[in-house]
Amino acid sequence: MAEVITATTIKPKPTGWFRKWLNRPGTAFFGFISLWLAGIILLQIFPLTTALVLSFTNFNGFNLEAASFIGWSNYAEAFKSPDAWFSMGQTLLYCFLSIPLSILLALGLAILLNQKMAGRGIYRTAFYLPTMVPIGATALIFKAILDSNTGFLNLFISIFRPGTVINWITDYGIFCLALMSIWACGARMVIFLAGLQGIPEEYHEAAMIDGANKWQVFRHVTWPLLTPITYFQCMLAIIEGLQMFIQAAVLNQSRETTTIWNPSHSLLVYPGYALQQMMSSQRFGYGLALIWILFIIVLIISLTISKTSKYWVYYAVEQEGGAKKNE
Amino acid sequence: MKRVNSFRRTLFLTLFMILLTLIFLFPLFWMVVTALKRPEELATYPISIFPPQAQWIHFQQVLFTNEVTDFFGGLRNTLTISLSTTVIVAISSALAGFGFARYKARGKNFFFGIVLATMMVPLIIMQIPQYIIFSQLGILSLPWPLCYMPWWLTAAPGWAIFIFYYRQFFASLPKELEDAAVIDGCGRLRTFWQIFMPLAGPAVTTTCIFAFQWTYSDYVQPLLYLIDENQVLAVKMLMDVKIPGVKWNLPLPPIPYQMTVGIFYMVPLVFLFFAAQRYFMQGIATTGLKS
Repeated sequence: MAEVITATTIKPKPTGWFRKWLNRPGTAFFGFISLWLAGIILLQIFPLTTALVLSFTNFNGFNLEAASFIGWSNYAEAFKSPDAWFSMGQTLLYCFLSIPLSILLALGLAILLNQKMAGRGIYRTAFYLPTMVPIGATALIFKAILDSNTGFLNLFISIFRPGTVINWITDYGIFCLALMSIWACGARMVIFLAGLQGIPEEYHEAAMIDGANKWQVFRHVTWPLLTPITYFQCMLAIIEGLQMFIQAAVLNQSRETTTIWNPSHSLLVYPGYALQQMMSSQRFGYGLALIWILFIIVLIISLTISKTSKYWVYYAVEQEGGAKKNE
Repeated sequence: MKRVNSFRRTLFLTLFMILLTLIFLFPLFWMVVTALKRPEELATYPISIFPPQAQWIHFQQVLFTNEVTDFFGGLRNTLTISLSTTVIVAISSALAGFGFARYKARGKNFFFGIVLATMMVPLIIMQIPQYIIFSQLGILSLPWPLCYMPWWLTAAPGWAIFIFYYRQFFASLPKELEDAAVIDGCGRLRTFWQIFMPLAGPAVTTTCIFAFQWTYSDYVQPLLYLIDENQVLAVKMLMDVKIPGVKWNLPLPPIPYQMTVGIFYMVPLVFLFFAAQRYFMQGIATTGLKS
């Protein structure tokens, strides 16, 4: 111990202003984050502002020098375009279908797996495995299952109603996409499971002793303690849901399509529409306006959720503070 | 009486779990049986669940017949991208995470707020503007392997979620470590690289695994940035499979061949998962790392 103190005292004193500057913790901090900072400015802020500027022009992907400002007309067109409204509706429908269902299923599976039972590890692996399947492969698999002639789903329904030929992908595209996202709810399940396992057993015992039944224990003990996790999950799920398009693009690939950027009507989601306008119709200015609208929608939704979170998310820290005041 | 009840409950629960497991694994099973069917069998109605004769030859054709598909070319590209990106991102995120965890500075909270905020921005919103910048700079027409520059450039600053993860990890290590290093005359970068990084083994492993999984399965960026022979397996799988003696004018190969490539594409990730399951579960549970 004594040695340490001596060692600290003989620490060499920095000389010269440069040395002094170099030895300041602030310098070290900025040194370590410099790569990240440069990246944020050059690869995120700069492209985003460029995109904002270009969204007011008629940029077509090639004519950067010749592009001219056309004011708000890209945005005006976006608000008038029936395709933009339709695709936004599709995206929202996807979110409303996939987010609650996959979060509820994940929670249910986590609650099941939180019980003592044989083979728990196997079940957990099985439920998690789909999230390891790359998205391109997932789309392939579901194309094979949902195909109108050769798919398993129609084969299965034909047992009860012979001769069923439903064009799932072309008629119920959004439902197919929601099904794919529900299949891959395993990662959410693991997060819920970790949350459940973090709740001390005494809480449940105390509630049981007070005469609460299983549902009451869940409703008044487990669920409040899970709300921060649920909140976080909802937030991420909404951001993911609003930008979903690659699943739709891959599902859409068929013998008739020549490019991945031209989604069919039933699989037209908002980001897909924006990309189609850019990559297929060469309308970058308009596409970037669509992307910026999406960005603003995401911002508004996340802000709204975080503002309302205090009404339904249980924060242990706040509650403890309140309890102390009462004492 | 209670015993009987508990037995019935266990039995019911086990059956229910097995049923759920089968439902979750069914799509993978369907993928395999579809891969083993003849293309013509998919045109008959009603189709059978199991192929009358399993076409294991598809696996061989996809892998080893060069006219069928450039499978190994695609795999080489996919692995080049995912491995290089993983290494870059694991180190650069650690650098920034270390800075946020170990040093005090004015404006630190502000910058960390930005890290958290960037986690919330949808990727697609960044990728399109980035794509325009990269294409204007001419990066996208560089030869192999420089055409993977977009990945390296976006990995070099570190990814927000990993910076967050490393920060939590480095902040949990004792202050004395640094003091001891300074006393021994160790510079800051050396302190980071020789003292803290070796201790961060679990964090590095988790980061590497997730970075690898995400780049390996990514579909959007390859579609935006790459063409032809530089393309990754994921995209090749849907567009590029050629079969000798089978002609079709359209860009898609017959479904069984797509499925076969899909199986080969999935296998490395599934192996990775079983080898590193513990890290996956921990990583997800502690920070919500998630694709």
